[in-house]
Amino acid sequence: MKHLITIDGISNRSKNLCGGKAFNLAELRRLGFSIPKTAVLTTEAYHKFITSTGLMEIIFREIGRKDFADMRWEELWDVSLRIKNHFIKTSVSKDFEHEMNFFIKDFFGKVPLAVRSSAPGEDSGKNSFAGLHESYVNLTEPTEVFESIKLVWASLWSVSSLLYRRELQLDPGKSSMAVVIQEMVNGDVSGVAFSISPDRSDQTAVEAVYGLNQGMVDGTVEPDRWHVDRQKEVITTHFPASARKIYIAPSKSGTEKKRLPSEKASLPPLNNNQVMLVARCAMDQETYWRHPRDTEWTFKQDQFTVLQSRPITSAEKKVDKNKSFYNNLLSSFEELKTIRRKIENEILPEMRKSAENFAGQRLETLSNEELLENVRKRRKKCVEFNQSYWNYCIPFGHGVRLFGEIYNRRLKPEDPYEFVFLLHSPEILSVKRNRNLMELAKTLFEKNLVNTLNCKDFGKIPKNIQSQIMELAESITGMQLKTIKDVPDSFIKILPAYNKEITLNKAKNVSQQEKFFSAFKKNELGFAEELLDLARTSYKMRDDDNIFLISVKNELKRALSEAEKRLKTTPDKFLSQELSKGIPELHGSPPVAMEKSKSAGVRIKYRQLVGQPAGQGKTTGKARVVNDFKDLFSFKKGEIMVCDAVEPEMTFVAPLAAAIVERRGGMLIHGAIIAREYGLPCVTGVPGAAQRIKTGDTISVDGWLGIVTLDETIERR
Amino acid sequence: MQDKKFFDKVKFLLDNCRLGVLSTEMQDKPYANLIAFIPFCDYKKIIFFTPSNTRKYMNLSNNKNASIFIDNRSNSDADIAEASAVNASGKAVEIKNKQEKTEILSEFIKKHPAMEDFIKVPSTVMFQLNVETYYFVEHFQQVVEIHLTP
Repeated sequence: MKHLITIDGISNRSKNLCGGKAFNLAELRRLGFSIPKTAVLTTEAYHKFITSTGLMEIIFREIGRKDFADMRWEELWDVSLRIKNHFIKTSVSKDFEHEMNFFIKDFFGKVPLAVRSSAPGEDSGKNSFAGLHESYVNLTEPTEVFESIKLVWASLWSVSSLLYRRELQLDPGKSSMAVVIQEMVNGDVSGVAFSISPDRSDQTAVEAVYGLNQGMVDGTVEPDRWHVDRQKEVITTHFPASARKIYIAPSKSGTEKKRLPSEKASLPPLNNNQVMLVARCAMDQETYWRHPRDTEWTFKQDQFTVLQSRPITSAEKKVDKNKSFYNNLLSSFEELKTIRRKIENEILPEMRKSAENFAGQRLETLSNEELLENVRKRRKKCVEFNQSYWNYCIPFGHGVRLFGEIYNRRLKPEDPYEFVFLLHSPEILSVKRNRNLMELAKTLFEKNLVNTLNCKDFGKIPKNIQSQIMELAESITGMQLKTIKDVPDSFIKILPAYNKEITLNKAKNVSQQEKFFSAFKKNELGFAEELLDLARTSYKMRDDDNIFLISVKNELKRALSEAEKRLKTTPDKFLSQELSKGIPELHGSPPVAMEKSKSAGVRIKYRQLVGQPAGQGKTTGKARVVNDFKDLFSFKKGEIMVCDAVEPEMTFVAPLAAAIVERRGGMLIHGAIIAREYGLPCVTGVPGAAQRIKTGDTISVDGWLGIVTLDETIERR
Repeated sequence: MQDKKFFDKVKFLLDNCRLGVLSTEMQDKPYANLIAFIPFCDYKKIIFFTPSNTRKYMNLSNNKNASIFIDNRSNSDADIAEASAVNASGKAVEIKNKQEKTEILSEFIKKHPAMEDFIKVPSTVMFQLNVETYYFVEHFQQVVEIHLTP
């Protein structure tokens, strides 16, 4: 086949066509190392695929939607999801299938195969793309091979790859991908070796696990580790795994985790001779390439095979910090389950308990010293919970992303966000609170109490309705109200606007759920059910965690208000100092200010702003720019909310809004989640949204295309 | 991003592109053709030439409203993301003043030396588009209007 080269056909001239990994394997074979039977599908095949199918233009359009450097990683994830979905949906040509079938039968015979990425520049002396692109193992059917090749190609556009390329300022438009196709070696023991240990430059490091090394690479199986003295060539230290419980084995659907038999669990996966064999292999490569090497290897019935080899690069060291961040994005299923337990069993109950505890304290009875102590305690809790939020709640959001990736791979949907419809939840706290607001407003109209409330003739309002009003006013404003008279005017003014019928987007019906499950084999159904449940919790919690966090923050606000009140009559140096510290920023980044600069005789008018499509639909209406919490109470039914970032405390206006536009981008941010729940058109990631759009501007929001149009002449279309 | 940056991008296109598409109109029928141009007078004007027996000349004689479309397409897949374009809209008027013409001619020839013969013959007419608004497009769909005040 025109675009396939066997490993022995790779030469210096074909280096760019074959990519770094394939070239390195060819070198290893020339050096006399045993490698699996290998062929490579060249970058030309990738180019032919993306140009003949129109994918090339789609890729350019997606990555060029905004300045690449201006995109938050959440936006890059969206971009990546959309690009990958195009790869998944697009079929390889019949000619390609035919030629590949013939080649596979002829060259490999009927054996399980692995396909791996081999991007030009990958595993070069300059850059290491280790772990950024994907590999698929144990493929037994030709269709599985084709699908996996497309996924390897698509992994060129994974969020990790995009971030890494941005970090190194590589032009993503010039990216390309060859694919290594290998005979599968189902090793008994596998691992990696670093010719120079990352933590000790005088040692070579060897890491090994039972079975395949996929578990070690993604962190689900802890390896045994050895240090070998580079000079004396002797083992200096063995760091056993804390527990050898599981191993990764090939299965019909790729790989699976299996319990390790007890006789193996008690023994290290390698004996000393094998450790030395692996270490020498790594050191020999370093001698040949004159550069430290990182090698993946496997033993099958004592036969040692090198699977791949790459340099340990300075670029890799430079972006190490970020790499752990990239890897965080891809938290595995098992890790996400652990995080979920932590959030559900510890973090959220603690947040709730603290908020309730603080709310029960009568601050006015405290002395100034006690109040000072109390404020400090509250601040400390705010900071602690904020840390937990970043460490656990934010990464748990990847549950939705993992689900999305798997859903799209299995179901190949036309709409890459179709999976979100399986996640809607009426139990989201802000949605519940908004439902209560609407019910209360309806009651006020039914009982003719709207004017009574406006006139503050509270005596005529039944006690139970008074309590509901106070409870909701407290939940929205964060104030602690003693009587109905304390309810702020702004809340009383906006409440009647909630008297409207809203149809929430509901989770798709049972048949759609069944469609999802039908994409899994019988033995995978347990995983599919668990995955959907995890994603639903992740989706719901993405908003709920903020509601709890805000309740703690509101309690700090309350204590600071008490301090402020006292300082008006009695000076107190320490209270004053504490007050001046303000409220810690709990979420996200502060608003991005637009730098204004005018040229004489020139007036800039934004006509069409491009962001990310985050909620389907199109509408036209008047903009209401929200720069401050107080602005929310001026919101009129049917206006379009425009802001820098929709914070969870702002979501109470969603039932009144016709659409949402925000500067912060991504499909999992609060604005996008709440917009989807109410079926509102939503565009996120609009640069300078709150500055470029003014309150009262007529704007059109196209949530399908991610475009906001500003034009006073727009008519409803 | 600075607002000023958009005008800088427009200036870059005007300075670096050699040809643009002039759009005129006659009896409700639009007409477009390629022209060589230069920006002039701090980008408030765009200068172009046409023989006086052309359709565009007739159109402009009857209706001064015109626009010039200038872009940096490379006719490749990357265009969809990387190409930017500007539509300069305003009124086109013939320049008859000799002194003014002489000054502009030398500027024009600097950018388009091969057109010297064409623009110096008596049958060729010099036009200036007095730009009222630049419509600048990049990233496929991002549109900014730059209004120039006289």
